[in-house]
Amino acid sequence: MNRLRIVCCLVFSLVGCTVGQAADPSRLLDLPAKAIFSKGPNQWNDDVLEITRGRGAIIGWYLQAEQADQVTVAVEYASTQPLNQKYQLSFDAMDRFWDVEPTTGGEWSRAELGTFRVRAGLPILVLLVPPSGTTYPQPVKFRKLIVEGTKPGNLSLVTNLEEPTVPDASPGFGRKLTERHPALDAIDLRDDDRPLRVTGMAMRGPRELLFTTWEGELFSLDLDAVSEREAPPFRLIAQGLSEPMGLAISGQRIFVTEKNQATELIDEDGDGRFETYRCLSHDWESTLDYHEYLFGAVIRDSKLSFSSSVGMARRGKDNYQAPLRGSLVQVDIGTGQTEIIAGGLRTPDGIGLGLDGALLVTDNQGEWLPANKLIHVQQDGFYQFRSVPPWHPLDRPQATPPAVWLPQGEIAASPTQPITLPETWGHFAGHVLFGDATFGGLQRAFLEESEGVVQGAVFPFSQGFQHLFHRFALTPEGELYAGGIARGNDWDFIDRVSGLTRIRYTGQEVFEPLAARIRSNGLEIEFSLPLATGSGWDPASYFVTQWGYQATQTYGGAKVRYRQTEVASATVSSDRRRVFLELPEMIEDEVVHLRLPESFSSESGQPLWAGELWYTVNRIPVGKPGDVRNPPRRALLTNKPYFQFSPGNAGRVLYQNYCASCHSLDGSRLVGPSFLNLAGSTRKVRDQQTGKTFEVQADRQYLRHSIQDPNALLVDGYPENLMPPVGGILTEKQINQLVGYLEKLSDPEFARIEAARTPTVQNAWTMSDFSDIGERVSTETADPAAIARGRQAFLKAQCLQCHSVSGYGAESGPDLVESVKKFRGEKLLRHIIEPALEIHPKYQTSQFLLESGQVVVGNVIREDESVIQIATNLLMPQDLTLIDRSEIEDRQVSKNSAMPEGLLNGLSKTEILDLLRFLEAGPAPIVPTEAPAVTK
Amino acid sequence: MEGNAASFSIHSRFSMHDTRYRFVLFVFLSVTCVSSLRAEEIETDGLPFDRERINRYSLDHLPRSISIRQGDDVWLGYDLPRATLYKVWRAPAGEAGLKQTGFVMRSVGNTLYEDRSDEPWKLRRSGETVPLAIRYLGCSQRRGYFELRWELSHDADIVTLRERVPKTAGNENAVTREVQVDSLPAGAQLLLPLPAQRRWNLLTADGRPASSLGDSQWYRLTPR
Repeated sequence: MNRLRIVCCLVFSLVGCTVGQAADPSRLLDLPAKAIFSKGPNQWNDDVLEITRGRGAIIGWYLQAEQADQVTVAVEYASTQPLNQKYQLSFDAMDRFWDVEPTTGGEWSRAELGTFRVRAGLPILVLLVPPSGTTYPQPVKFRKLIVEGTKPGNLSLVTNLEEPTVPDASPGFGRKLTERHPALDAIDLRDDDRPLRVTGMAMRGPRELLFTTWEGELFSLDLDAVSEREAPPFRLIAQGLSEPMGLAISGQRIFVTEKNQATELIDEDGDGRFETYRCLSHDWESTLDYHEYLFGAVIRDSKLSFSSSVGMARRGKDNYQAPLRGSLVQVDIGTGQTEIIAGGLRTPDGIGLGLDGALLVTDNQGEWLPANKLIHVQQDGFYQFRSVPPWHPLDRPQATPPAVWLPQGEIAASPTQPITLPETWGHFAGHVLFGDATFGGLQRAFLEESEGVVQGAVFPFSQGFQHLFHRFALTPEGELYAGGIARGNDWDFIDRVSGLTRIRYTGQEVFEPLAARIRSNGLEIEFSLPLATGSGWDPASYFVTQWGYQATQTYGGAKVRYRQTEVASATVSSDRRRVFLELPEMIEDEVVHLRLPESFSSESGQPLWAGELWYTVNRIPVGKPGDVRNPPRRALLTNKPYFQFSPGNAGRVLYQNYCASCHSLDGSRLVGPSFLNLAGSTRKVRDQQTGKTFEVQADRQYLRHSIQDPNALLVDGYPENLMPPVGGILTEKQINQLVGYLEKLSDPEFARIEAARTPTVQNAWTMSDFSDIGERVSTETADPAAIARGRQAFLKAQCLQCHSVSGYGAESGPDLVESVKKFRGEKLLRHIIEPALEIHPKYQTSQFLLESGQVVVGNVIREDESVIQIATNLLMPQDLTLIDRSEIEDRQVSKNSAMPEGLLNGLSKTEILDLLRFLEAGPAPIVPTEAPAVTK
Repeated sequence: MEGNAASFSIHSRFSMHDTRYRFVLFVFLSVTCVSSLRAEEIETDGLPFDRERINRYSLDHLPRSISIRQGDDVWLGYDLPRATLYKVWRAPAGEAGLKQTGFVMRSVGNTLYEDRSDEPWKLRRSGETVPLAIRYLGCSQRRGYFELRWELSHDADIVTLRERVPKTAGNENAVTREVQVDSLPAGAQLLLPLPAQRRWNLLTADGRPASSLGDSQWYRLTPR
């Protein structure tokens, strides 16, 4: 009861909602259609809402009950035609399906959609969702929604649930990371002759890696023969497989999950070739749907486990699925006996084993999945994807929650194989890494059990790799081999992101949030290194939001009850490695998102590598409170804000999270059209209904429409359904922010700066990529064209932000004319790629612990007896922080270079070599603008 | 459509008295010899399951199917859940017999035989015939032939059906298949699906016609 009061209080006070209370304490909530919100491609005809298209369309409303009650939901509607699929009513995540009967002569009629139990206190989201992907010639019209309870005055409509304004973002802090984790060493095992689209990986013995490719081949790689200087000796050992997406090995037995069957490859005569492809199991139906795959393969207790995806081809027609699609399947490798372990999966492109031997599966957001998931598989679990009849045998009203929700665009987009890290990975041992075929990089999850329920947190871990990782294999020594894949017809893109990478954990100390553990009254965050003395105690230094998810038959889903959450207190443990955050509003079945400030540093002055996590609260333990203590007297409680909230940032973050993987800012073509010069331009589009093409002005209305209903006016040359209906995910406020950002991109200078923030080409160059560079790059005869190109690359890499050349440029770093007198070729490049290798004392970074507990890290620009001037951001050297010497408690020199790593990642290899030629030539003076050519 | 009216023996295309035939036959045999040599090389040095000879992607409308080339240009397509030859076709001269769209291969060329029925294999015992449940077991590539295997069952009775497709055609260059069944219950015979009974000769190893398959013997199937 206390908890109920807390929840009620919390909802009213923090959500800050205005509650439309009926004047008459009626049992009814009688709502005109205009009183509800509508998203996606819906039309208004005066006060009547008309729906013809399903993909991305949602109508819904929040209601609130003071006391728990039984309520009935009804609509007033009109429809002139029968529909071939049902509407879904989702009431606080409980589903009913409504077969829309045509009304006589299209007149208004009332339909009762179901009776539900309403919880007390919490705003409850009710959604009415048309069939996804279907377009009907005549609209279904709505003019009223009626919710009827049993208690007078109990129900109310919540009309303005305000979303939180999020702090400004930077990589690892509200935005995707852009660089490789400092403790990871990676080399690209490239085969220049052909892209390797890796679909399955497994070790055969300690030093032989086997992997399958999308083309149906099986390769062997002797890991002892891998060198950083020569092309890897890949050996083709089998072929003719049909879309293999998983590979597992038990002893010497090799199993592949193909398009339609699980197969054992058998070498009967021991000659190294596989003469027999034994069909181990195909005990489920298949169709010709392109999206029916068997994903992943692991062997546990002599049973091969994998999952099957659902079909997608009939989304626009009738959503039919072959029986048993979306299953977690287990097959005895001896007998072929097949068992369905779980159902309700959609695109489960990854399977692995957890610490406890349990199966872990990732799944992709889409229809019935409002976000991506990391699933700790339960026997007979149902993971939400509902089909149409014939129903999956495990389909049931209450879905099994995932261990970790992976919010779309924030931390995942198409998660792939999860792999549990071994002891050799130090404090990451037991953590789960997974890749992403769209979002890229590696994400890290920490799982724990709370009263028998597995749940946990996901953390940004690393980007900055060449490939989009799809499959993994670990050697006994802990080397991680990661295979990348891309599909489609853009071979430049495929070549860039497909292939094999070797990743080694170096053990380098990196400051980051390591784990999160639930307590009865909040979350305990564990850090990899002790926090700086005195920091971490201020509740204001933690920006926490929370929300739920509600699955619908349309694509994706918005955050439900998205709100900022109170941090009542923050308690730092005595070893300063853990902080307990008291979260009085934390409730079950929601995600808690924590943002840390960039100003946090470790005891040794290291800044945070990344500062956020998403914890999925499935079960709050009873009687297991976290430690709450008052801050010590010298704890840092600063007047300086921990977070900035500038208005322009939101659009950029939305672009980064939802658009950047398909739309460039620099004019280059990715999956979709570039956003450069989009706003205000004339676009040739195709009307989906008529197929006719015509030109439209890309004005504000067009941009909004394209986000809300991507299929309505397709840019000529792009197919239907290529773009996800993000309009169904983004809020009205977010759509406005995104459109505002797109409009600002019509300013060339703004677009240039933004494109520089989001370089399209990202190559995580290492010295191993330039193994043959030698003592110098330049030939004896100077190549003026190469030097000119190198000068462009020099400007592109923004070297002048910190370095000067013959007196022009900034002075935060050494004058490069002087530098190249000492370093050329390989040495020069190494100083750029590995800036911490050798730091001139003049440019060393210092960190200061102040009496207030604040830590300041930066370059000392000037100092005298009383004041030290520090540049904390070398990209803004004019912004100096002044420190009074009397406030300094401790001062140390950092081993980290002020020069960031990865400055060359936006350049191609050719550009880098030209850049070196330019520098080796003894760089000519750089002037701000080109002098106009003069012709006589 | 249960069968194609056109005969699918290469031999039947020409008259024996036609000099043009002799020339074509000479060229054909030469090409066949060269192809056979190349096939042997592949078998010795190459990897099994070359898609030029055996294609495990879906064929036409059949998600679970397999296509096997016999000789230079004749393809046999199998419907694996039915354990049945679905189609025989000859690729257009100088062209591939399979056209790929994603994971689906389309048969291209002149259809020589087609069985789109749902007629099953049947077991005959004591004058009674019963349909059989079918489970595909896999395929092998061996010297000179490909082999497909199925498990056919009725109640507790489980038999193993093997079908071999020689890499080169038999005498007179007609399409050739070989079948065998193991573990037949005593006194039982295995009956071909009806369309196959109508369009194929079932012959014992010594060339005698047969109406059903007995246990553990190899039979040859040639087009009628």
